[in-house]
Amino acid sequence: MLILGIETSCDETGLALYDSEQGLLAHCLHSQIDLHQEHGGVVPELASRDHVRRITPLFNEVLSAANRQRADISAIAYTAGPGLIGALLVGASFARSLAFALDIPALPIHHMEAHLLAPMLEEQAPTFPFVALLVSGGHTQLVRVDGIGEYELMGESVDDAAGEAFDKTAKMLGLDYPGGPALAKLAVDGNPDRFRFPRPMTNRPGCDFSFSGLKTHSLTTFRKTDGNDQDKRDVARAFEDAVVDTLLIKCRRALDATQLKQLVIAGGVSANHSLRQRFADYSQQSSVEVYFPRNEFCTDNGAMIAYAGFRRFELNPNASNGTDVRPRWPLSELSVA
Amino acid sequence: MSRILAINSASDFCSVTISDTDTVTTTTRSAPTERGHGDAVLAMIDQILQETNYAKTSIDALAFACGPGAFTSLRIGAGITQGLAVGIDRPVVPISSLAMLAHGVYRQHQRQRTLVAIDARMGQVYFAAYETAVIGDSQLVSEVRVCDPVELTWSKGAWTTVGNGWQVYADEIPPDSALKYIGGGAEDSAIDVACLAEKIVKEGKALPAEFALPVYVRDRVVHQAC
Repeated sequence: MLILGIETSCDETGLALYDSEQGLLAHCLHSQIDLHQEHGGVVPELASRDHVRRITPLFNEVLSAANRQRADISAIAYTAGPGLIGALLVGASFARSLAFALDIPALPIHHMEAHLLAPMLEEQAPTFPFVALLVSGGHTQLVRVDGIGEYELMGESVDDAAGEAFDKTAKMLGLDYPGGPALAKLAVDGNPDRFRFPRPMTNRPGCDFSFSGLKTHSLTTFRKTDGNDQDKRDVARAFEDAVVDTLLIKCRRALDATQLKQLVIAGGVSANHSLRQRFADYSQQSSVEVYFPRNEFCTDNGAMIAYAGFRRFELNPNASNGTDVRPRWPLSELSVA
Repeated sequence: MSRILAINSASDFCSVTISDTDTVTTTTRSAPTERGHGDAVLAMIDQILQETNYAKTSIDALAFACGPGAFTSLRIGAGITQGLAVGIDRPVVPISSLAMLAHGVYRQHQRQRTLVAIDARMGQVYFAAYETAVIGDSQLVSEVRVCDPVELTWSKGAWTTVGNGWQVYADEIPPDSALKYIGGGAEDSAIDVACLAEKIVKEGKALPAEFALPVYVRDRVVHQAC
């Protein structure tokens, strides 16, 4: 069985081919970072315009990279939500008409489900059940995962997503979009002892997050400094440490509550080096195994959509031909089949 | 000799046509455009293929109304066209949505000189003038513009007007008693997409699938990052 995965929910056009026997055969990605950089964030109309230009060339590229023919494809999985509606519609229209032309099923995939399954593309893969921390520019969620479609939301951000807080704090420090990775780079040379920022909502029970106040705290702190390069590094370090600490505290809480011993961390922020190191240390010091996708599959990509499509198709080969896109689509509304 | 599948997804009505120059027949489905009309377009394609008993692979080329029009609707048409074209390995023919309406006026009313104005939202219209002397060939005789309705100008004479822009901005467009308004004109306009595409296919000028792209005309978009 060969599944084509198509991702167009935001600012990356990703296509991939996953084979049920051989695993991931190829994946191709076009990132729109350069396109949105001058605007300081993703411009939805520009994103949609770019997806429709890229999708067919990427399809040809991924087929060629996998050395397969279009007739070899058994089903097409596409991101149906959540995401930017115009961007989602490009992928959905292409996916569904291609599936129609090839007489194969089109499978609508939940973007966050695909993220949380992404570590299963690795050799060291988690097995159900596990706790998943989904941490990106749009989401910060802790989810108990008992199987495909069996998701219990344990906590989420009540305001900014962690990645959003990274980007906004970076912007405030004068860093270019996307600021998150740039902030992380600055933080490497920051003094960890100069500032200590609060760990929001860790003194309350539960697994919810709040990062908006931390962003404001960073701004207030930075304004009290001379604003030189070292000040930026030190604020960046204090901010990153506070976010990573907070995420770790809440993950431990979720693991304690569920008594589960596996933790999956996925989404764009899971590529953060400091976060990976802290959680790896935690894993060594505890009986908890921590799983990440490889770096290139932390951000949006077609491979995770193809893989989620494969798992969904295995469960229910008759669930096909999709649906309209859903820009807002809570993970907890998914079911097994 | 060619069999063309034509799609218009970017007007008040979306429609799908299969035209066959061998049998000189067209089969068309049309429906008012609603949210999620990508579903409707694919369902209509399925219906007319079943009705005509044509295999998908018997289609020689795919034509679509490429704009100007509502951006998202244009991309639904472009996305569907690219997907089908890639799936059956056939070329594509983008056809102007304005030329499509002008051709419809000639096909149905035999009027040759047509001014097309469609609602571009934000208080503006997409506008162009065409002359059509034969089926399958509408000649652009003006610039294609996006402008305020009050700025519309045209040469004197008996023009037929078509498109929802004339109706939406009736109070703002400079009056001209020589104009004859036909209506929105989009009800079964995939037929006109097919007619205009035939010549291009015949001349061997159909394009690879990735060229099924919208023509926006309005390139100044709201650059508001989310």
